[in-house]
Amino acid sequence: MIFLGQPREEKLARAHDAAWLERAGMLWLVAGCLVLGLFPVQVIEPIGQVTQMLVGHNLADTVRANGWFLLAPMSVERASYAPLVFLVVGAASFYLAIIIVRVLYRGRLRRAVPWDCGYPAGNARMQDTAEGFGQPIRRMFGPFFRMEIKLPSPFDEKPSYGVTIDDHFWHWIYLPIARLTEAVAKQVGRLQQGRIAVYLLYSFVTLIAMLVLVRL
Amino acid sequence: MHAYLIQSINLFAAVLLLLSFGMLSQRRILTLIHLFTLQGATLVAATAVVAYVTNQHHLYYSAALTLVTKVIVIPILLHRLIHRLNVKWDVETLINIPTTMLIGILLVVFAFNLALPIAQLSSSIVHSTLGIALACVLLSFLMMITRAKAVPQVIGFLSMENGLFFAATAATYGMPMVVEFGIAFDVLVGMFILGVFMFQIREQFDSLDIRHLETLKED
Amino acid sequence: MSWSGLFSQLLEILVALVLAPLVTGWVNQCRAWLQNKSAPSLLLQYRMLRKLFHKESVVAEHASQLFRTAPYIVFGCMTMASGIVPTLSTDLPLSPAADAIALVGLFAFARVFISLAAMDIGTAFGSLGARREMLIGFLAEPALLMVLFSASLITKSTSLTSIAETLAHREFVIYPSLAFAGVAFTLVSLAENARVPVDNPTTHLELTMIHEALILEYSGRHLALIEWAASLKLFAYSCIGLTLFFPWGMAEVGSPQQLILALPVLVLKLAIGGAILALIETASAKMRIFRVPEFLATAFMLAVIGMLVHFLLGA
Repeated sequence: MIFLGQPREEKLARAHDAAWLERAGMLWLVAGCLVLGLFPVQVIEPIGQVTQMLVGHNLADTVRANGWFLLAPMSVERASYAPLVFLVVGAASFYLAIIIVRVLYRGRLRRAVPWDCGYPAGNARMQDTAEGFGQPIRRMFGPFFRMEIKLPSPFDEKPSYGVTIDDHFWHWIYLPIARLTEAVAKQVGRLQQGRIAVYLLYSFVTLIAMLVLVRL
Repeated sequence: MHAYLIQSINLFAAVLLLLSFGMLSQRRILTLIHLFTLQGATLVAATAVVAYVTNQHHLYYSAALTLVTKVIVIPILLHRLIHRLNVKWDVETLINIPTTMLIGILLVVFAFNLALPIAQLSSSIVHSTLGIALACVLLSFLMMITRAKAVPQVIGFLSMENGLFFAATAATYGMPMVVEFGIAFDVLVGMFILGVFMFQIREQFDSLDIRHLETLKED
Repeated sequence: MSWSGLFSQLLEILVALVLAPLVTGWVNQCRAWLQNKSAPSLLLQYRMLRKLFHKESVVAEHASQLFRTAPYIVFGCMTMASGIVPTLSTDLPLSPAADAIALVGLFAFARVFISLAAMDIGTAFGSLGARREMLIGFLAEPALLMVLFSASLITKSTSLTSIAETLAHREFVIYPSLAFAGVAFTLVSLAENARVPVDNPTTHLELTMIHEALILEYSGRHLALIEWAASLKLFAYSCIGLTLFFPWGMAEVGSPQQLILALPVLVLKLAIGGAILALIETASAKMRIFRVPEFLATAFMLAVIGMLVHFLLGA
């Protein structure tokens, strides 16, 4: 998996994007983000009822008091956020950039090969993958994971690279529990012979034991 | 003016803690000594201000004593020591530094929590800085634990003494003069002994790595 | 919203656009002096911008539209950021619209776009820069937020103008927690602005680049916009620092005539700040990339301790 960039395999060069209907599925998520980002006041009102039930306090009243476009949980002096103004000013500064370029700009646009730092043989296979992209962060949090990295040596005929990431807790907590359960289950499993006579014997023994207990 | 002076004591306390953290995260031994000197200087300033605000003359003496020992004599001795021992490379740590810092922050929370009830008993004007002093002591202790080489350990020990000194100033306006002189003398003598000790370690093992001492035990 | 407020808002953005390259030029000049080099002209940044705007843009063969839009977005974000941060006046109509948290979000937005643009070409350097930038970004952001929170604990507000107003007009008090926040902020802004201990803005060696690797493919007008945006970012960060730690000398609500005095004060403060930045950059050596998390973790810890100290000392 890679982010953007060029196709790494020949097959992928002929790959095409999914049909628009398929892509439209993602519009839901976009719409959700937009609604949350632009109309937080309206979203807070239904959520406010939940917090009212849980902690007995509702933000919706203070939020509503400031009007529909300004989000201020406590008061405007303490913290505030007006998404529409934010968007408009953001768009305005974006257009400012375009205007500045229009005024100052005197050149043309030319296409060329990307900078290769003196190594023209570079190809799409050499670009970063998601694996590489996450590498610094993975290395930073290395102690928190159980990582096994297989690095090829420079003399390998067929170099291969692989990382398996495991959770410490899986080995520290869950696997011992699983092993314990298995051991107990094995002991219990011994009871289960599969012969009907034995099962009947169990019932019989239980019955006798109960009767003895009652007698005592 | 008076209010500013008390605030400045709080500021000095914060700087002490800052320097403790700086020492905890520092890898270079030379910078470590500089930080230690700075910490001593801050301590002197804090003590002098406390002395001025509370009109306790004996605190001036103890400030002067700290100035002479911690800011002048000991740093010079340490500089000579690392020059003679020729140790200028990076300090090795047993635990990596972000983890150490993480533990450090937990220690600070713990110290602040611990000091709150004690500080309320004290009538001193700077009693709220007791938590910081305690945190400094614990952080220096942590530094001693996590360092593998002898020189940073000695610096950690000295910096722990700084924290103790500040704790005394914060809680009860300093210890009696005799005790303070005694401690200062102790620190100096200790310094010499540790210096001699370090030469011995190096002669024995060709390294200042104190993990080598583990091999000395009888099996 | 008053006319004077609108005026000071527009003036502030204009001043930021004009002054930002000057600040970068000043830092470069100080650096050259400190390193015993003959210093470049203070106006070099302006000349470079003009030169770049006059050159033709060379775009890589398979660059998409995203690659060409990103500089405009980054520039827009930085312009807006310098409009949110109070520099000359605290009478800003934009300040209720976006507080410090939104500002951090704005910086993050710009960072995402520049990283996407760098990965768009598909060369090794672009994605190398992108991943390093993301590494630094995700560590620097919480630290920056913590710094802003320690300041907002004192003033009970996350709006930068309220923070500046409260700190500037209250009776002068020494806040130990701000000392911690100040050190943490210095560390964060060094990392965020790609300055020396983390990244070298004048490097020519691709393997050590972070910010430069991101913009390796840009040229002409796009590069001009990005360079300008980088200057604006440095300007905005300096001004956040000034707002939090040295908020004196800004014009207030209802007295726009103070703007006349506020500008020289700002220039003076920036000049001192730039000289200090140059000093830090000269005195420190660039660190390995895997020391950077340590550096930023330190910043985060310091900011957290600042907050703890605030609770302990009540100041």
